[in-house]
Amino acid sequence: MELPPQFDPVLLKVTPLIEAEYAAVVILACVLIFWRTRELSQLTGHRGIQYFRYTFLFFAFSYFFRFFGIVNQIGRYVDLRPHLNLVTFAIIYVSSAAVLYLLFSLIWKKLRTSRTQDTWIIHGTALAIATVSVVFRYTELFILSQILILLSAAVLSVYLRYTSKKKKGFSQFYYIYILLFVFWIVNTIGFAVPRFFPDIKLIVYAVSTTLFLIILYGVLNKTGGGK
Amino acid sequence: MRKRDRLEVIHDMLKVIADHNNAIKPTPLLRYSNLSSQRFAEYFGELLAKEFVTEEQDKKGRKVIALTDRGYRYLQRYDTIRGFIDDFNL
Repeated sequence: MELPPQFDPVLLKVTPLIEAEYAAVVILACVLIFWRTRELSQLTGHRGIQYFRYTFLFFAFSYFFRFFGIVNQIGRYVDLRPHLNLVTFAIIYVSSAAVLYLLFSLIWKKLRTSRTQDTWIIHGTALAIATVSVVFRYTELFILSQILILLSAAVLSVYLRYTSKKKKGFSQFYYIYILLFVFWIVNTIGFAVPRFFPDIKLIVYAVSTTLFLIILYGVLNKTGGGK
Repeated sequence: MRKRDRLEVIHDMLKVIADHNNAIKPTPLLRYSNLSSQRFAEYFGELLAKEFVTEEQDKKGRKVIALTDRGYRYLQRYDTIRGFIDDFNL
C-alpha cells in the first residue's frame, strides 16, 4: 500500500528525531499554557480565558497526533497504514477546533450565543471539515478552511478593536497571534502537501516553536507571582 | 457612570465585604454594590454558587455575608486576571 504524501519519509526530509523534538517542545508549551491558566479560568469562568485554554489544548492534541502519525511511519515502529485515515481525521479535527477556539476567544463578546452553542458550532464545524477532507480526500478544503478562519480572525479582531469604546490599538500578543496563525497555515500546507516546502521545513519549525514559546513566556509572566 | 463588566462587579462586591472586616449584612452590601435589586440577586447567587462568599450568623444572630478563601483569592488575583484578559485580547 502506497503511503499518503503526508507520511512519506522521503518527502518529509526531516528525521524522526527532529519531528519528535519539535512536537515535544510545542506540546510541552501548550500543556504549560493550559495548566498555568487553570486557576484564572476556574476563578472567573471567563469565556475568553476558557477558549484561550482550549486553543492550546487542541494545538497540543494536534501536534501529538501529527507526531504520532509521522514518527511511527518513518520509524516503522507500528504499522499505522490501515489507520492513516483515522490519524489524518484526528489531526484535521483537532487542528480545526484549535483555530476555531482561538477565533472565538477573540470574538465571543460580540456573539449573541451561549457557551453551549459556541461549543456546538466549533466542534460541528471541525467535524464537518475533517469528515469532508478525509472522506472525499479533499485536502484543499482543510487548507482553505484554516486560511478562511485566519482571515476571519484578523478582520474581525481589527473591526472589534476599532469599534470598542474601551481603548484603541493592539497588545503585543495580537501580532504574535497573527504570526502564529500564518505559521500555522504554512505548517498545515506543509503537512497536507509535503512537496510545498520540504527544504525550509526546519525554518518553519523553528519559527513556529519560537512563537509558541513567546506565548508561553507571556502566560507565565502574566500569571506568575500569585502562587 | 461607566458600565462595569461582570468580573468588575464581582470584584467590587467582594471588596466591599473585605473592607467591612469580612462581615456585612445583605442590605448594606446591596447599597454599596451600586446594583439594582434584581441584578444584585443574580450576582449574589453567582457568588454563593462559586463559593466566593458564605452566609453566616454574627454574635447577635443576624445574617452576615463573609468571604471564603476562594473569595480572597479572587481579590488577590483580580489585577492579574484583568491584565491577562487585556494582554491576550480575550
